[in-house]
Amino acid sequence: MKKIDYACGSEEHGMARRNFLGTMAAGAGAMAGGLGSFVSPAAAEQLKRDQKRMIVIELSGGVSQLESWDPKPGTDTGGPFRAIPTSVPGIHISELLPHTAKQMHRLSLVRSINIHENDHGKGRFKMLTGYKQTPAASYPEIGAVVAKGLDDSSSGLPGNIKIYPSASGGRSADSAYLGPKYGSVMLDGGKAPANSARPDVITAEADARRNRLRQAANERFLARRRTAYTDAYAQSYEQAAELMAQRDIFDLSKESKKDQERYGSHDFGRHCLLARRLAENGISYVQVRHSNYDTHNENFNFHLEQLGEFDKPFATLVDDLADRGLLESTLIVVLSEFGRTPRINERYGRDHWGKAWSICLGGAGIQPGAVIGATNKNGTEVTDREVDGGHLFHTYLRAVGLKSNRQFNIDGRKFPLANPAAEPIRELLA
Amino acid sequence: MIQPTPTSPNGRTAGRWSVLLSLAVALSAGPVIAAAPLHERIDAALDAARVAPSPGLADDSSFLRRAFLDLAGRIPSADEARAFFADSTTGKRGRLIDRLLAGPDHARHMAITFDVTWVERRSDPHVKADVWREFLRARFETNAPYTALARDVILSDGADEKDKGGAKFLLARDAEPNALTRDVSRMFLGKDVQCAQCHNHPRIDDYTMREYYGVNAFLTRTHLFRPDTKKPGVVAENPTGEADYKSVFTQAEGRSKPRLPGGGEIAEPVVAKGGEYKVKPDKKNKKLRPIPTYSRRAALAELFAKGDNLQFRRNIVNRLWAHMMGCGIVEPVDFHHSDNPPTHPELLDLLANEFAAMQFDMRAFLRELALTRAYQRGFDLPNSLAPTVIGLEKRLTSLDADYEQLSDEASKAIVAFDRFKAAEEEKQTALAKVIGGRPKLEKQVAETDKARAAAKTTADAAAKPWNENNTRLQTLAEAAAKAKQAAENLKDDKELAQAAAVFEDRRVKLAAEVAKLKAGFDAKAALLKTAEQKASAAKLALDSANARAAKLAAELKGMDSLRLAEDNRRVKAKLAANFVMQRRDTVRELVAVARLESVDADARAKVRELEVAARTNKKTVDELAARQRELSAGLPVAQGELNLVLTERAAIADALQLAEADIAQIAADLGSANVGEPSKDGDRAEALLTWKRAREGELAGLRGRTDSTRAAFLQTVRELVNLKAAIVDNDARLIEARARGPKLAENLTAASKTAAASAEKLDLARIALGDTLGARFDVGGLTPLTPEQLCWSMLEATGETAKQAKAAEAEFAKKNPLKKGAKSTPAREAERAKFVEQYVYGKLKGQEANFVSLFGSAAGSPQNAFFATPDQALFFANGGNVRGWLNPSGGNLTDRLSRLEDPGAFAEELYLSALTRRPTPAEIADLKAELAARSGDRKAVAQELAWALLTSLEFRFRH
Repeated sequence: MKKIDYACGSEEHGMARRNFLGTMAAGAGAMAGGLGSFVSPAAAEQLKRDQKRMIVIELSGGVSQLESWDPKPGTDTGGPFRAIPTSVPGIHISELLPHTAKQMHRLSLVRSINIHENDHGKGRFKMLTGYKQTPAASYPEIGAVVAKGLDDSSSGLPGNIKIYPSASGGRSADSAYLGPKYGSVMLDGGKAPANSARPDVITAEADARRNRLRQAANERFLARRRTAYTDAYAQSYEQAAELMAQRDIFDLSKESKKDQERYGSHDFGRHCLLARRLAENGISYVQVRHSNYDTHNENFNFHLEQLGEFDKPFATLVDDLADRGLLESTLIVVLSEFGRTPRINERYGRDHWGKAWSICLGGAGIQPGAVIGATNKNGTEVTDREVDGGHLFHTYLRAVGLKSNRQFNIDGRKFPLANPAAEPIRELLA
Repeated sequence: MIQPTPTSPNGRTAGRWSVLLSLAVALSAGPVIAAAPLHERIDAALDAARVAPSPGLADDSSFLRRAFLDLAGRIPSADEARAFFADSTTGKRGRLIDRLLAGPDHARHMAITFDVTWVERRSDPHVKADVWREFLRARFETNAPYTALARDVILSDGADEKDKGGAKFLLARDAEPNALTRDVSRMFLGKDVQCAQCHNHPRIDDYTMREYYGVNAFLTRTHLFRPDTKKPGVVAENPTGEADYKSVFTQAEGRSKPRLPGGGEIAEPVVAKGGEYKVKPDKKNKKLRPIPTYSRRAALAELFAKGDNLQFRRNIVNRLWAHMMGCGIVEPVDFHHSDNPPTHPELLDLLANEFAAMQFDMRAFLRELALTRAYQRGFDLPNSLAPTVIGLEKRLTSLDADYEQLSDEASKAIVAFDRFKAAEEEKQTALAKVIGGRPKLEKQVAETDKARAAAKTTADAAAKPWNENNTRLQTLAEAAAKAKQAAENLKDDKELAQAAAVFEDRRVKLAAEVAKLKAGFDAKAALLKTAEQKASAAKLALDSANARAAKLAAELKGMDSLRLAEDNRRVKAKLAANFVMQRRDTVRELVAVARLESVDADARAKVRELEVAARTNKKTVDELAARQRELSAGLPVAQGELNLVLTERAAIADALQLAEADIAQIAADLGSANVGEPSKDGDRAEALLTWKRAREGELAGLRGRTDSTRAAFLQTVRELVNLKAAIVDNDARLIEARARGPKLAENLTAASKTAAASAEKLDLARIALGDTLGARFDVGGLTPLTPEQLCWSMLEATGETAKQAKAAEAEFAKKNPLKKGAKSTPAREAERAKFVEQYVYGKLKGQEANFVSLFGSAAGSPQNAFFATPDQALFFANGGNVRGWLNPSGGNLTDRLSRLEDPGAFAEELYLSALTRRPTPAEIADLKAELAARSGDRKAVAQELAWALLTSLEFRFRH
């Protein structure tokens, strides 16, 4: 850092300096605390409410809309399960989701999705980016866009987190041109990010000492030349220290025994609880994957089992967010790469189906208790208000308060937040 | 340390040259320049365009670190650094460059660089990453020309199991034509024309669908051939397939033959029908890969092999330049277009042509770049620009004027080009309209022809009975005539007359019928004629449309070459204007920074002034307060003194009163006694008199004392009054001075704020200026190490590389024992170096993968983006790898350090190993203090210090 011999050393000066560094992505200097250390608890509380966030439950493999959000009992395609009433008069969903049915007044359904894709990768791409996948182009996923759009640069915590039952960890390519800063951090099996714990062999004092030495070396270098890059690199160590200090937010054992029991001891339950914990701690985007719904065989048995696992933790999550006043600032979406064929195949399975299927969403700027669009009697076609991944993408962004028709300016190049060929589903927005 | 007289690395004095050369460049005196080596011409071109003061050459350690990073992909070891610093002969920089270029690390580093540039960390099931890297490494080891490399990369189809490496570029993209079009355009032609796949680029005039599909036409027939999805695929090509396009915006359609940017459509051989394949597809053998007779991709490879497309050459020299200098002459390197002009257009073309003249020899080219002063420049910004501001402002005025003129010319050229484009578009629209109308015309031709045929059939049908009856009528008429004649000749023969009448009657009837038939036929014939007219009119219309289309097409084709010329004129004019504009903007920026400097200096002066004022005031307050204390302390003393005087005076007054009373009493007593009577009374009177006199004497004395103490009294009273006044006065001054304090503090705070703000502004402006000057190569750049450079440098610094190298040396010696007494040959040494490099790389490349996963951009995206994220810092802070490397063992860095007793030696070893430089006295002092404070903990100190330097900015960046 440039030596400032006239620095008055007042708190205001320190703040101004830090703000500057914050916007620039910053330099050496004392380890600064996160949001909390500068903001009063009441203000932090207010901030928390104003800050929007998004949780996505990804039912991987393609959940059957007929066994979930758009049941067609008593038709040739309906399968063996009944439809049950929900907390919203007139809306019925599959009997496999009794707990979710009780939360319906906080949620909404879109029953008219047609993505024109029947391939896992392409369907997923369309649903998570809002664009059709083409060989030469790449687009950021919703998580990266939300993380960037809602970026709170004062935090050392990642803004885009994916919780997978098992993952290789590390950085993924899902942020495309938004840059790796917004790429998702994968929490392998819900574990904390790699290297976020200080190993025992390095004492806190030793760590402080070596960082002090590092900062001293940096100050000498910065007296010669400083760039945005040098600031960003120096700041990454402060963010790392902050992440280490806040590592507890990844630690489910800090949640009450009762809560752990309510969510269940299986992976998905624990991951939903972790999603709640992360959302409460200001993480902009959390995506929880529940696997696997690719039921070409034995569709009904598998859905009975899978949705049985899904239903209670999901309903608990919605209920908890609402209880804590967080649902009004948290968008929650249950999606898949596509739905499943109305036709039941000879192995009692259903196959890939992007033509007429549903998602469930609620919270933040989403109007509760709504149903958008419809399919025909046996679910083979959309009959009203057809939408695709692009419309949904716009809608998510609007719901978390981002103007989806705007552009990001990245190194002087402009990139739209969402596919300009699509528009939000305005009637779904509160 | 800046060398006092800059000498070019090969020992010739550069100063004289540069003056000569900049003159020569200015005068465009070609032949003189051509004699000078390329690196001097580069410097001359840069000097001629420079507007900013420029630092001298970087010191040896900066140069050494830079050269190792750029040419060998890692920092040097402490021993390599010592050896270089110890060499005091001239030309050592040039020799180092040559040594690095010839070494095995160079081939590896270039293989990594080109792998990352071309494949962007994609993974695919077709070509193993190692095989591809080895393909590249082998080519860089033998210094294959760039053109040959480019050809091989485009041409390789991966069909030869033994030589699959080269096919990585195509197969990493599944040989998909649009992915290939985008990346061939980007990576070999420097133009990211991706947008133009679906429409002309909305903001970049130069990027059109025409350009996209020109390149696409080379590749659109290429595809992945993978009959067995469990096995790797290969590249195949269809004999047919065209690059047809239609804009999603304007609906304008087109078809492009293969063409490179700035070139025309290539001539293609006519392939005879049936002769399309060298290897025909076989329906029974799906595993047989068909091979076309004529390959468009091969045609592209051949164009690359020739290397005569200017844009192809510009792209590669710009990339190699960016590799050495930290950024391209065109930056971003993927966006060559007239709105993103090169900083030095003539330099770019000079490099493009010279690279061709040196047969695309990359090693020789990199050598020339490394020898430039531009490459060896220091990276410090000028300390103060304020002194240059007057000169800069003058320069600004003249550049403004130049720019105005040039931008005027550019606008004209743009307008002319736009007009041309409009004319061309008009013709295209006309052609599209003609072509669009053709199906209707063709339909009309078909319909009218059909109608004509039908009318003909009808007419023919009508003609037939008419003709037949007409023939019959003639026969009948002849017969009737003959009968009539016979009847006339034989008048009496009634029978005959009757017969003649019958004949006549029949003839008349038939004649009537024939006439009717004829009328019918005539009507049909008329219809036929109309139909025929219609048909020929339709045919004529079609022919004329065809002729018009052909004419328009020919005209458009004629415009093609004109368009190129017009476009070149436009681009050239824009470049000229932009070149001046960039320099003008740079000068503006310099002036702005100079002004901010004075604002900052003023603000700081103000702060200092206020600080002095505040200090002075504080001193005054202190003094006044002290004085107040002092004065207040004097108050009781003065009061005491006054009291004393008052007491004394009271005593005197009492005594006086007493004496007066006494005297009066004595006088009264005297009156009653007889004076002079010698008697008891006479004695008494005498005694009274004496006493009276005595008392009167005392009285006089007391009166005198009353007078004398009066002065003292007055004096003490005055003093007391004065003291009180002084206290009041001092108090007032103290209050006043104290009251000034907060105001002064407030002013100081405000001034400090202003100063902080101006310092921040200046800081930001200097950061931006550094970027600007760096991008113009006027100061050395500051760029992040690539993930690979970071990894290999860290392994080098910590001593991990040396550990592996030692094992490799041992193994080499075991495998290739030297006969007793025999000396090693240069060939053996080269072999040994190569062996060691490969051994070490093999052992440690897993670490490289770790760094790539943290510091590399996502697969398939450009890899030159910089980002710093907490996970990287966490990896260094808490990760096991780095901790292991910093654990003292086997002669690694921390092991060596913990054995060094002398703090000076400790510091030198540490700084040379980590930062390729000797420590400064201040750094040595700090280190001594650290060691002294924790003398029993040497190992821990070594680890902490090494960690601190390895994670420092100085290590993370190339500078």
